[in-house]
Amino acid sequence: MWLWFHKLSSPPYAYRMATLLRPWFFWTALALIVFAAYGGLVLAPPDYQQKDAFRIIYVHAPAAIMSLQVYVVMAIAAAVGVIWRIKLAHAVAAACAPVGAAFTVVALATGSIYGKPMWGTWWEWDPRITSELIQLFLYLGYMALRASFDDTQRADRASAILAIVGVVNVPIVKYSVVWWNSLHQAPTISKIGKPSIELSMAWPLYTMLLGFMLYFAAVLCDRVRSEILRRERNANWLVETVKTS
Amino acid sequence: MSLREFIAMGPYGGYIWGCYGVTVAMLIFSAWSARRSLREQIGAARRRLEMQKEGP
Amino acid sequence: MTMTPRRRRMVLVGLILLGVSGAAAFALTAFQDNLLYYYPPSDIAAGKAPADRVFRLGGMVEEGSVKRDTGSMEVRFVVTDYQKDVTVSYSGVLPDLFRDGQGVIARGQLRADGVFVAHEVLAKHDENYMPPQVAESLRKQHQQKAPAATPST
Repeated sequence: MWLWFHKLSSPPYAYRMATLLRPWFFWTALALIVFAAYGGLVLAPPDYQQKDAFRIIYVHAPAAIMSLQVYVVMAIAAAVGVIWRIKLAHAVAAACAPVGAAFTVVALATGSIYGKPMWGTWWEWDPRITSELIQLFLYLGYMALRASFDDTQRADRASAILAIVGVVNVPIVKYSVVWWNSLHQAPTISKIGKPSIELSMAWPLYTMLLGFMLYFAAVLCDRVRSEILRRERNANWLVETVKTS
Repeated sequence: MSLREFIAMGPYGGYIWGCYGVTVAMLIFSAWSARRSLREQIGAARRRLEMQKEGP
Repeated sequence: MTMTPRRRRMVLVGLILLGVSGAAAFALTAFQDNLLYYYPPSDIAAGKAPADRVFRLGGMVEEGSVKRDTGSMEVRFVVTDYQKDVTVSYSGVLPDLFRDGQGVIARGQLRADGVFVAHEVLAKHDENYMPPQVAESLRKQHQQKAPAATPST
């Protein structure tokens, strides 16, 4: 187990794995996303209440879920980097932020467009919406903090603290609709017991979420590779790698 | 269902296609910017190695 | 005084921290201000809602209570939490989901006569999604259950 941990955390090995896995992640993600979009836009029946407008959920909800999941991955990576002093973990954390921010922007933008015809407003300072906006600020703050340091090690440490502190917002976003009475409805797909969505309408949602996860993995591969290249400027193993790729 | 009906989505076409458009644009941009920075890093590493070879 | 790059970076980090904490504080006080995002009609009946300022009222639109004033945009309806009712007066565009039995959140002020004058009405929907046919059959089942409760011999 520890052997595996060390092997994985060695930059040359991680670099090669990322190069190898990326196309698999990417093309599977693309196929799943296209299939899920077809399912959501064409195959799924319209909702009894929201009619066709509910089809927005197929991009809105998975993006919102990813905006939290990516942050958890980032905070864990940052914590691993701080505790075990693994540079690669910091590289992974740094690589997560732009992707997470992109998902958060999608969640907020599609939520706003969704809110207009259904609720009657583009924006409302509702607990769920406000906490998701803070989530975006956390990603942007993390990236800005990293960019403000020239020294990678110091950037790693300082931004790791922010990533770890910011993780408190994840449960706030998730449970905001339960803790406070809000305009946003309670969660649909993680509800225990009676499913609150018909299977014919649910499968594109799960497919899209899986597609987004693999997409995240694919983009992460690219970003981790650039982080490794930036950090391992003078390593010998780079000579061979860079020549061939 | 005609294509026109499908595009219109009742009165919600603009909202729905707007949402899918935003999502697709963001996915493309995010993947593209990751690829671009990787290409830049590879290019920079190559140049550094060449300089080292020519150097002392 | 010249700004060294390092000082500039320090200011930048300070501004970011200030921005993030400011946004968080602002949002938290916004929640604090209306500890409840909206007040149910029972709270209003109990006098818990603020009388002198704008607040949000949340509940269900009572079946058959929606009255549209002919000639003007004014709509009157009753919002209920199945314990207490509040009459709401509103003139403006209603969201697509607004209908009898729908959850709504109205922002406005309570008038002296107990009528809630809304500036904005938002529709709230639940977390259930189903095709129209399923909703229809659920409704029918529901209707069939009611007479079945009385014994028929």
